Amino acid sequence: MSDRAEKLELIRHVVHMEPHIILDSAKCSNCQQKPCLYVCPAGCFTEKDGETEFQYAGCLECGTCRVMCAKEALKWDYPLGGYGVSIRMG
Amino acid sequence: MSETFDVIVVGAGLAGASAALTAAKAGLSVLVIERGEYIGAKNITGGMILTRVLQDIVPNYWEDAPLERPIQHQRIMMTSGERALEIDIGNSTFLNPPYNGFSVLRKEFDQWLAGKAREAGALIVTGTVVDDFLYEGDRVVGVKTRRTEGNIRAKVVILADGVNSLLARKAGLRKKYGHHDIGLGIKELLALPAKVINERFGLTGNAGACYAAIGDFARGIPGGGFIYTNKESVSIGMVVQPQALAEQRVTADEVLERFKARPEVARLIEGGKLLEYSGHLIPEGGYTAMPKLFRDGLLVAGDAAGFVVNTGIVLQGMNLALASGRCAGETAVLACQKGDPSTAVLSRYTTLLEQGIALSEMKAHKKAPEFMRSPRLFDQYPDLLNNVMEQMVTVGSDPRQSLMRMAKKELGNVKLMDVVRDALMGVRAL
Ligand SMILES: Cc1cc2nc3c(=O)[nH]c(=O)nc-3n(C[C@H](O)[C@H](O)[C@H](O)COP(=O)(O)OP(=O)(O)OC[C@H]3O[C@@H](n4cnc5c(N)ncnc54)[C@H](O)[C@@H]3O)c2cc1C
Ligand code: SF4
Ligand code: SF4
Repeated sequence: MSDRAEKLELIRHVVHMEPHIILDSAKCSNCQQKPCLYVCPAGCFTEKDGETEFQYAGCLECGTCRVMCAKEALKWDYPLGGYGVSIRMG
Repeated sequence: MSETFDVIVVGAGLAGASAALTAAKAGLSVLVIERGEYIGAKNITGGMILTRVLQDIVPNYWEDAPLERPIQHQRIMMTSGERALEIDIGNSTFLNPPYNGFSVLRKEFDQWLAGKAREAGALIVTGTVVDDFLYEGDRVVGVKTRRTEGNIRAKVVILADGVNSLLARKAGLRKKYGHHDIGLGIKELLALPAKVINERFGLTGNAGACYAAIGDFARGIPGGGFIYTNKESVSIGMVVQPQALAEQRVTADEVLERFKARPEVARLIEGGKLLEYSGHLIPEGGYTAMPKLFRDGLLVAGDAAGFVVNTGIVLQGMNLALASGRCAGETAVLACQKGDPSTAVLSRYTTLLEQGIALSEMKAHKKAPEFMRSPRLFDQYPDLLNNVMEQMVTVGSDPRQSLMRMAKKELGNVKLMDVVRDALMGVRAL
C-alpha cells in the first residue's frame, strides 16, 4: 500500500501566488456531509476543529469539488495560463 | 494579435486538435489556444484509444504516432471475496493494421496530434486561458483571453475545453452538472520492464492487454477499476461516483488501494515504481445530459459536449473527441465557405455527428449511464456469477445440480424483477 502523500509529491506543479479556487468558509459551517473531504483526489480539503480548510497548491484541477460542493462555497477557476498542475505522461 | 482568424479552437486536447487539423487542412486560418504549460499538461486518460476514427483523420497513424501497445486482450474481472472471475476477449487480428485500439499516454500523443494540425497550418499557443467570448449581438465573434490585448476575433469558435467547460456554461449552452453526470477518474502510472509485463499479463512482443474490473473491492461504490499495459509501464486506476464517496466517507484513493491489494491485481503490479498520480473528471451523463451543441458562431466538441460512452467494459471518450472535433472542423469549413456562421448553417454539425459515430454511439448507449448506476451491477452480480462458477468447479459430497438450477438458486439472493430489469436495461444499454 502506498501513501497518498507520496503519490502527490510526484506531481509537477507550477504554483501561482494567486489561488485559483477560493473557499468561502463561512458557508461550510452549516454543511453537513462535507463531500469535499472525500471527493478531492489531492486531499486539498481538511477539517480542523470542525472547520473546513482548503489549500490550492496541490490541486489537480479535476473540478470534482466544483460539482460536489454542497453549499456553493467555492469560487472555482483555472489557474493563470501555464500555471497549476503539469501532467508529465498522462 | 489583432488578426482575425477563420477559426479559433479553445483547448488542444484530442477534440481541439482534430477540429484544428480538419479546418486547417481545408485551408482555413486556425488558431488553437491551450491553457496548459505545454500541450497535454492537463490531460490524462485510462486508456485505450479505439483507432477507427484516428485512421480516418490520420491515415496509417501507426507509422509515426507515439503509441504504447496494440490491445490484443480485453479482460473483465469480477471479484467476490476470495474469488475472482476473469473473462478474456482476445483477438490476434487486433495486432495487425489497422488495429482495433492502442494504449496511449496523453502528453506524447496529444503533442503528436497537435503537431499534425500545426503541419497543416494551424497556429497553436499554449499557456493561455480563454476566459470569455466576444459577442456581436447574439453571435460569438471571438474570444477573450487572460492576456493583455487578449481579445481575438474569429468567424467560428470551436469549444474543445474538456469536461470542466466553464465556457459552455458562460455561453448558456450547458446547465450545471448533476451529481450523477460525472465520474471521478484517478490513475497511477507504474514502471515495469516490458519482459515482466509480458510474463505477468501473458503477452508476447509488444502485444497489450487491459482489464475492466468490478466487484467488492469498490465497497459497493458504483464504478470500477482499470489496468492497461503500456510498453514499459502499467496504467492502473478507478472511475468512481463522487456522490458515493461522500456518502460512504472514503476517498477514491482508498478504493484504488483496495483494488491494488486484490491478489489477482497485486501480482500484476508488484514492484512497479510509481511514476505519476493523476485525477480527472469524466462526463458520464450520456446522451440525455448533453448540452446544446452550437449557437451563432460557436460549436462545442469532445468532453465539453459530453461525448463519452461508458459501458463498464469499454470507455469511449478519446475516439468520440476525435470524431466530434472533426465534425466541428468540417462544419466550420462549411460556415466559412458560405460566409455564414449562423445556427442555420451550424446545424449541419448535428447531421454530421449523426452520420458518423459520435452521436450515433451516444444514442445507441443512451441507457448505459442508468445501467451503470445500478449498485447491483457492482455488488450482487459479481457475487452471483462467482457463486455459480464456483459450484461448477467444486465437487463435494452433495448430489450435483444442473447449472440452470444453481443459477436459479443463486438468483434467489437478488430480486428477480431487478435481474429482469437490469438484464433488459443491460442489453439495451451496452
Ligand atoms: C481516468 C480516465 C480514464 C479514461 N479512459 C479512457 C479510455 O480508456 N478510452 C477512451 O477513449 N477515453 C477514456 N477516457 C476519456 C477521455 O480521456 C476523454 O474523453 C478525452 O480526453 C476527451 O478529450 P477532449 O479533447 O474533449 O478533452 P481534454 O482532453 O480534456 O482537452 C481539453 C483541453 O482544453 C484545455 N482547456 C480547458 N479550458 C481551457 C480554457 N479556458 N482555455 C484554454 N484551454 C483550455 C485543457 O487544458 C485541455 O488541454 C478516460 C478519462 C479518464 C479521466
Ligand atoms: S462541501 Fe463545500 S460547503 Fe461543504 S464543507 Fe466542503 S467546501 Fe464547505
Ligand atoms: S479541483 Fe479537484 S483536485 Fe482541485 S481542489 Fe477540487 S477536487 Fe481537489
